[in-house]
Amino acid sequence: MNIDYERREIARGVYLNIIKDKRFNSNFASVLFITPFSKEEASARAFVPGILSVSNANYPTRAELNRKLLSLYNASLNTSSVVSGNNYITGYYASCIIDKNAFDGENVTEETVRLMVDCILNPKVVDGVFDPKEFAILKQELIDTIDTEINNKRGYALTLANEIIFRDEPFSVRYYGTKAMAQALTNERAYEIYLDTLHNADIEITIAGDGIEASAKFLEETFSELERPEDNNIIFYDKSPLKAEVETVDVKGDVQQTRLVMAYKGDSKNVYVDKLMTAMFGGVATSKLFMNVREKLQLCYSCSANYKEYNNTLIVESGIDAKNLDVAIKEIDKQLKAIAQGDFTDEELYNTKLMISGAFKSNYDSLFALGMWYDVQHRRGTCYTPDEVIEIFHSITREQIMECAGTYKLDTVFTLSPEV
Amino acid sequence: MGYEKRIVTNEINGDSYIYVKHPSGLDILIWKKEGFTTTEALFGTKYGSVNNRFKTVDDDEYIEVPEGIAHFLEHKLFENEDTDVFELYAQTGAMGNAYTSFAETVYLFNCSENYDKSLRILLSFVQKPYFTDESVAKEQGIIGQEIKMGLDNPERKSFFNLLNCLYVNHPIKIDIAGTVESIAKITPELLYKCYNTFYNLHNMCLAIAGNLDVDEVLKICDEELIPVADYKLDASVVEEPEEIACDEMCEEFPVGMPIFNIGYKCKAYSGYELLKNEYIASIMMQLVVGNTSKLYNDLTDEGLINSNFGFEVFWGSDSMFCLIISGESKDPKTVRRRIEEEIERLKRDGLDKDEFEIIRKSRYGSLVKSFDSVDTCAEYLLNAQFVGVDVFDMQKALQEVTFDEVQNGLYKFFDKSKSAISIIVPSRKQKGECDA
Repeated sequence: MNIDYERREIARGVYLNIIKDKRFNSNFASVLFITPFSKEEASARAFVPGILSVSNANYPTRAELNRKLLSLYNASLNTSSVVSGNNYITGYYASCIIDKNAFDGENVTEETVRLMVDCILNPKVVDGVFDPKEFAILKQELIDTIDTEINNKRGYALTLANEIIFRDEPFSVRYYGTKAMAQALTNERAYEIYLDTLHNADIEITIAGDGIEASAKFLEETFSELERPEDNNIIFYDKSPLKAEVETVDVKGDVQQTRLVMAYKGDSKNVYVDKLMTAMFGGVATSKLFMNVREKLQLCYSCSANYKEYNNTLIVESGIDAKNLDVAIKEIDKQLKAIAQGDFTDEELYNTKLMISGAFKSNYDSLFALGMWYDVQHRRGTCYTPDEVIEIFHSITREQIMECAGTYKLDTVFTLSPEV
Repeated sequence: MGYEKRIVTNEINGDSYIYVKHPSGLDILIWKKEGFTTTEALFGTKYGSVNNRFKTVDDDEYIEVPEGIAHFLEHKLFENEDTDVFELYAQTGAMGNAYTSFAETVYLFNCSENYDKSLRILLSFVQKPYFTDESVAKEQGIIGQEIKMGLDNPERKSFFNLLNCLYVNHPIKIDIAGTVESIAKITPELLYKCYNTFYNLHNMCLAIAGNLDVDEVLKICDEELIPVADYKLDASVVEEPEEIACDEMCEEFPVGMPIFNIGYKCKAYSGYELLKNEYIASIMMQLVVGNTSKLYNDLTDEGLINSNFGFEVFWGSDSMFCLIISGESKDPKTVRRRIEEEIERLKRDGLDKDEFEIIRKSRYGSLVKSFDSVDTCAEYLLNAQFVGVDVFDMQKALQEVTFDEVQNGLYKFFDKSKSAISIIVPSRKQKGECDA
């Protein structure tokens, strides 16, 4: 499938990505700020997108901004904060109907994009800092988020496990920091981080859809004028070191079911081989983990593997009865070794390639997915289409899969288990 | 083969899909999405967790079955006598899945290639049950773990506690997966009984959207569907009084701050009336507690709610309808009181008509945007068919909603005597009457 995609650097470290596509009823735009960070900044960095998305200088209250979004046919404005590789990424995403679906020929797309940019570049500022009332509300909300992380037992277990798996690495940090960091956050510091992000981060801008030319021009003119630093030290790929001995940690909690997280660290050189091997190990419904840990031994409802590309780490996760813990750990380990030893059929490999291909092709059917696809491609230093990546998958051999699996060694076994 | 066929067209953008009444008794809906890569197919039956009591033309008395059996059956259908369904899908590259809700069980796949082969797999395995004592015992272990996973979810607990407050008899209050104890009572015989009752093509629907060929879909249906007699199923749920069971339920849980669900029990609707009332109620709720409302912004400013605050019109089946407001708060009871006060104020002072127009326009925008997703289109087809409307009736119903209907909704839907609150409080507090 052909994609009308264009990318250009409009200022040092600022890239504009344009995807023209007439198939959809809606358009999409995003602005991502990518910056190296130290863990002490996590709370401040997580805070900024929240306050920028509730108001701006032209729509100074939540109600006014929300009313404006509703009047633009429920245009959406969302944000994200993630730690990715050694970087902190804050994202702003807007979506709206295409202009020709509007009742009265309104310029919905351009208005929505301008609204998003206003939120990013023209916040409501009082005496050189963010609106103090909103600052207080959102600071408390950040603290509440940290307090309520225990509500989601699966996410909580992964968060705790991450701290052990990636100890002393940027990726071990909770994206929102700690409660102490959040409590200590000042309005001045938050505003400083906002300005630092604006002027020092690398910026990835995407506009996608139909009738987007005016919006693309506006984005280019606006963001090419930002003050720019010298080259940033943006590092995505930073292999996580394997511990000298497997670290086993059990945390007791008020839970009904034990959450198990296992981490393997590898040394593979080809991301697509890693992805295919992970899928075969625990990423699809015919994977080794699903067929053996769940279906054959009936130890769990779900047992899956997830590949952390930037850290060369394979995370296995499951929920099981405490009494079955040892059996489950042994079986998971056995299945990874089985792949390394070539204990899989050519049909298994081919079918996994087919399933992955289907999933990758589905990126063509969503503007958001296409935008994110190219973002990830550029981090890898490539610009493949989904079809080109599918070709790469089909060229991977069973020997490459075995070799890849063989590089993964058990690093951490973490459990969140019921108090006895 | 002779079909009863109808083309359903969206008058606004010209989109259209085809409805076919297949000679086997199955309703088939096909939506070709030009230029799209993926295909999503859903094969569903009007059988969910609320259908634990039923009879057919052959039965004198209602049969009662264990809680969670519809969900259990969904799991078991993936295992054929000779092979695992996921392995069959793997050969076509499709991602297969299934879900059981309160009122339906749906088997689906999503793919970018070989949709024809995957459709044959879907139609074939759902029509081919195979249950043994051994396979039932195996699944009891796996689903037992799924149930335990749910027991660690405080939001789910709060939601079901609210339904237990609002409903006296209605099985909507029972968790879809049942309990470890209830699924222990499931046998192959019970599964066959439920299967033969509800998995009848006259009670089912196939919805498929995306990159496809209409004639090919119908040809596959002709070859794969096995006609059966219509059993004239009666799956009416037990009678539910207008009154609620209790107006408050509190439970401890390991959570960081209290979680709440506030509900208003309303009259049930069906068909187009359900669609219309869902819009009326949701627009009204947006005006009362939505993110542009005075109350929402006051509660946010006072730190009584956070961004997890939300609302929904909930109808798990067409035999129930309620409004739910949920979120986290250090003081859920005050939130409830403030909502009640605001409703009374708005009953006196009236709603804002300009705001109503903006919200109606926003709903139109959401609907238009949602048609971009092949998956959503397929889901719309199935859900609309089960409700008894066309997909584009959603736009029609939205256009028809008047300000007066929304204004009257304050009286129609918000009856304080039929409201309840469920609160989950952090552990180590006293149970029962809580101090949240």
